[in-house]
Amino acid sequence: MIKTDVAPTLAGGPTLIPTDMPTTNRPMNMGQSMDDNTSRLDGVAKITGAAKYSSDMLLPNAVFARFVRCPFGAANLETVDDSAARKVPGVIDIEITPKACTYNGQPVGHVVAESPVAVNRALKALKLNWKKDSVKTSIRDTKQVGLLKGNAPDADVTIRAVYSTPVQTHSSLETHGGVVDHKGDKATVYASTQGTFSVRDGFGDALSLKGSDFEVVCEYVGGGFGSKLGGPGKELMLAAKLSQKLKRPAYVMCNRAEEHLDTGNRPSSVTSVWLSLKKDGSVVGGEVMTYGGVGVANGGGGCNVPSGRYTFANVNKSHEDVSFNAGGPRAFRAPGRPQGAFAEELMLDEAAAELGMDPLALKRKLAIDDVYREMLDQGAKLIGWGERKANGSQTSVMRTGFGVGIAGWGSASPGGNAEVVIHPDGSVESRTGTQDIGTGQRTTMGICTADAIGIPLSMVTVQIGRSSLPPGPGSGGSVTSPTTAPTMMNAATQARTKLFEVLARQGGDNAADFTVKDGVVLKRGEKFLSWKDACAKLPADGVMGSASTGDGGKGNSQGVQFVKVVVDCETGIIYPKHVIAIQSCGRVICRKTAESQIIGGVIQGLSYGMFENRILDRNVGAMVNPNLEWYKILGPCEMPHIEPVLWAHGQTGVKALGEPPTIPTAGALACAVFNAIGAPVRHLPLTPDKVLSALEGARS
Amino acid sequence: MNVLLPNSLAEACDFCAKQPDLIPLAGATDLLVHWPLRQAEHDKTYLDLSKLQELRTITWSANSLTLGALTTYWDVLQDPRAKSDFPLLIESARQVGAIQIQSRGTWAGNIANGSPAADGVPVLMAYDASVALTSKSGTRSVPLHEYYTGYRKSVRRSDELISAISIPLRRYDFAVFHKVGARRAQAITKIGLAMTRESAKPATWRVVANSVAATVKRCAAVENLLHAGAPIRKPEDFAAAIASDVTPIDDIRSTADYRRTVMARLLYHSLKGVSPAIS
Repeated sequence: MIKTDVAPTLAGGPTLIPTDMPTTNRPMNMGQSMDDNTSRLDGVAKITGAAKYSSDMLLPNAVFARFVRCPFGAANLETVDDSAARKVPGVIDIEITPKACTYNGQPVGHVVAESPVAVNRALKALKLNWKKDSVKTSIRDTKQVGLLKGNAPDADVTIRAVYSTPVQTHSSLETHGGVVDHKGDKATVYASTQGTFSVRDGFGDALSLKGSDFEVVCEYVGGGFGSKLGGPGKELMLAAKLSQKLKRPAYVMCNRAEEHLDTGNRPSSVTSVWLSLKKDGSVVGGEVMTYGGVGVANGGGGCNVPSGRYTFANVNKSHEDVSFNAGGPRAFRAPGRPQGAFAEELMLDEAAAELGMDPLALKRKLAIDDVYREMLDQGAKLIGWGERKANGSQTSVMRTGFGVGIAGWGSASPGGNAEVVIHPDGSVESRTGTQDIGTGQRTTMGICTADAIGIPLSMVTVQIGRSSLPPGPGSGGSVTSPTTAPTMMNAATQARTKLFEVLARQGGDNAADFTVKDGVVLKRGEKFLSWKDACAKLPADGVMGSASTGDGGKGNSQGVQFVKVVVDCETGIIYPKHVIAIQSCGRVICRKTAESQIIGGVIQGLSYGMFENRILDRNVGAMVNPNLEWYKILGPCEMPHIEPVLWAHGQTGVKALGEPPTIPTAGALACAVFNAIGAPVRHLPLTPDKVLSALEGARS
Repeated sequence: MNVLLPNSLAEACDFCAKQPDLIPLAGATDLLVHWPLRQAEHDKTYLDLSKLQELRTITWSANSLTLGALTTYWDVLQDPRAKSDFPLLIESARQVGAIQIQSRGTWAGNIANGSPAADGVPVLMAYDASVALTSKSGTRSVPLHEYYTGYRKSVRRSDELISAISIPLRRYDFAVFHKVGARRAQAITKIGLAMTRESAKPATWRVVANSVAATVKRCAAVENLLHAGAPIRKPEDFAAAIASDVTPIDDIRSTADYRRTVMARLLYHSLKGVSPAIS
C-alpha cells in the first residue's frame, strides 16, 4: 500500500486525516476523500427514466418547431414556395426569410406545428430554390501550410513537421434546445444548459417578462462539454418567441444532424513547427505557427502549443484563425488544449527519436516542475514502460507501443451562492441553482453538506438547477466544483453553528461546546442528543446558513497519461490496451465521481484520437456524416483498461477535474503508435489507412 | 407511409402480384436507420411480413439447413447445432450491429436489401447457400452467388418474395470470416471476407468478399489461384486476382486502395500454412 502524502483541506470543513483506503485501483498520495464510493444520488432516477430532462418535457398543448436550414456550405435562398407545406395538417406557421447563407445548417426560418411529425412533413414539403456558391471547407483551402525554415545555430538536431487535427463536433446525448411555457404573466423555461443563470439573464426582451417572473429549470442535463454555455441559444430564443406569441408551451430541440451542424465544435488545427535541440535534450530554439479552422466564426480557434508545460527556450509562436464555409466553434472540453497537446507530444517524441533518447527521459527533462517528474516516474512503473521497445524495432504483425503526455489546468472560482437549511424534523436541504451537466454535482453538493455538518448523506436533500435557487456558476472551465464545494461547505457550517447557538441558548451553554459526529450531537465530547432530537429544538422554520464564498485553496491541476497500444500492421487498426491517467485535483469530494470524470476524459480523448472527424463535401460544403452512424465515436469494444490515479500534491481545496483528463490522451496515443510502427502519423484521427500509409512511408 | 399486413405467404404473394412496387419488410433494421434521412422512402408502400410466423423457422434435414425468411440472426445464435455445423454463421451474426439489431434483423432481409456491405451474405455464399423465391406461380431456387445482378439489383422478380434460404450440409476443413470496420462493433464493414474449403476430393474453395464491389462478390480469380495451387509467398501475390475479382471504391468508410491492400493481407494471413502452396 502506498502511503498518503499531503492531505489538502477545505477551510471550514472537518479536520482530514490521511488514511490508506481500500481500493480496486491505485490512488496515489491521495488524501482522504470526503466520500469513497457513493453512487450518484440521481443514478436510479436517470436509468429508470424518472429523471426528466428538458427534452422530456412534452407538456400538454405544446407546439413544436424546427429551423429551416441551408443544405449547402454557401448558397443564396432565392425563392420560397411554402404553399404545400402550409397545407400539411397540423402546421401552425412558417416563417422563412430568403438570404445568402455561408454554412451548412445556417437557419433561414422555422416551421411550427402541432406535432413533431407535422413539422417534419412541412419541412419536407417546402420548395426552396437555392443558388449554390463556391465553397471553402478547410484551413488548407485558404492557407498553404508547409514546413517552416530555420534552425538554432547551436542545435544538434532540428525537426520540422506539420501536424493537423480535425473538427470534433459536439455529441451530447441530449441535443441543444428546450421548452418555454409562457402563461402570459409568468413563464417556465426548461433548458438544456450549462448555465442556468446565463439563460435567465440572456433572454433580453424575448419573453417580455422580468427575471423574477420566470424560472429557468434544468435539473438534469444530458451533457454539454462547453457547447451549452452562453445564454439561451437560438433554439430557446425561438421557443420563447413562439410561446409568448401563441401562449402555449413551445418545444424546440435540435435533431442529431442539426447538433452536428450548428451547435459548435472543437475547431480544426494545423501546426507547422521547427524545433532545435541539443544532444542533452534541451530545446534551444524553434518556431510554431498554428492555424485554427473556425468555420464562419472570426475567432476561437486557438491551438495551445507550446503549452507551457515543457521548458522551450527561444521558441516563437504565432497563430491565425482561418474562416471557411462551416459551422463555427464553441467551447469544447479544454478548448485548444487537446489539439495543441497532440502536436506537442508527438513533436517531442519525434525529436527524441532523432536524438536517440527515450521520449520519457526527454519529457522528464523538459517538464516544468517536479510534480510532473514524479507523476512520470510513477506512471512509467504502472504502465510497464520498461517493456517499451525502440521505435520501429518490431517486425511482427501485431506491434506494441507506449506513449506519454502531460496536462495542466489553472485554478479559478468565479463565485456563487449556496444555502443550507436544517429543519426541525432533522432533514437538511442544500440549495444552489447551479446545474449538473452529468458530472455528479447533485451528489457532491450532498456530500459537502453532510461532511461539513457531520451527518449521514441520507439526511440531505439537494436542490439544484433552478434559477429560483441561489445563483451559482456556469459549468465551464472546470470551475463548478471548485466554486460550489467550498461555498456549500461554508453554508453548511454556518447552519450547523446556528443550530449549536439554539442549543446553547436553551441550555445555558456555549455554542463552541457542541459538535456533531455520525449524526449524533455531542456536548463537550459526550453524547448529548440524537440529531433528530437536537433539531426538534429549532424554531418552526429551522435555521439557514448561506454563503457566497468559500476557501478555494491553492494550487492547480496537473496530470500525466500513459497509453499502451497494439497496432495491427496488416490492417492498420489500433487497439488501445491500457491507459494510466494520473491526475491531481486537490481535495476529492467523491472518489467514484472523480474517477468517473477521469475515465470519461480519457474515453473522449481516445475517441478524438481515433475516430471523430467532421467530413465536409469539398464541392458543396455539406457535412456528409451528420449522424452517429458515420460520425464514429469510440465504442465499448475499443475501450482499453483505463486506470484513474488520483494524486494529491500540495494543492488545497477542490481543483479542476473536468477538462484536464482529456488534454493529453490523443497525443499520448499518437506517440504510442509512433513507437509501435516506427513512423509518426501526424494527422488525426489515426485511421487505419493513415497508419498503413505511414508504415509504407517508413519502409520506403 | 402505406403498410400492407398479409396473414399468410399466399396472401403476401397476392399483394406482390397486384402491386409490383411493394417493398417487403421483415426486421426493417436498414429502413428504420435511414428513415429520417431518406424522406423519399416515406411515401412508398411496404409489405410487412411480420405476421407470417410460419417463415420464422430453422429446419435441419439430413442434407441441409433451411432458414425461413423471417429467421433472425439471434435465432441462429441461439440454435444449438449452428455453431458446430456452420460456425461462420455464428461469427458473422455476432458482428451484425448490436443485440437489438441481431434480434430484429433477418438473414433473408440482409440478402434482399442488397447492400454490398451485408455481413450475413458472405458467409451464406461461402456455404453455397441458395435462395427460395416464391410467387403465386410457385417456388424456384437460385444459388446465392447467382442472385445479384448489380448494385442492389437481383434476379428476384417484383412478384416474388424470398421465402427461405437453404444451406447444404457439407464437411469443411477450413472456414474463416473476417470483418474489418471502423470499430469492433456497430460499424459497417470496410472490407469483409468469408472463405471455406470443402474437405471432399478435390477440395472446393469458396472465397467471398463484401464492401469491395457493387455486390457481395464471390471471387473466382482468387478461387482459381487456390485450386491451381499457385505458389503464394506474400500478400501482393494475390493482387492480380483481386484486381480481377473486385472493384472497390473510395467512400466515407474507407478508400479503394485500403480495401485492396487489406483484402490481400487478410487472404494471405488467413491462408498461410493452410495450403502448402501458401507460405
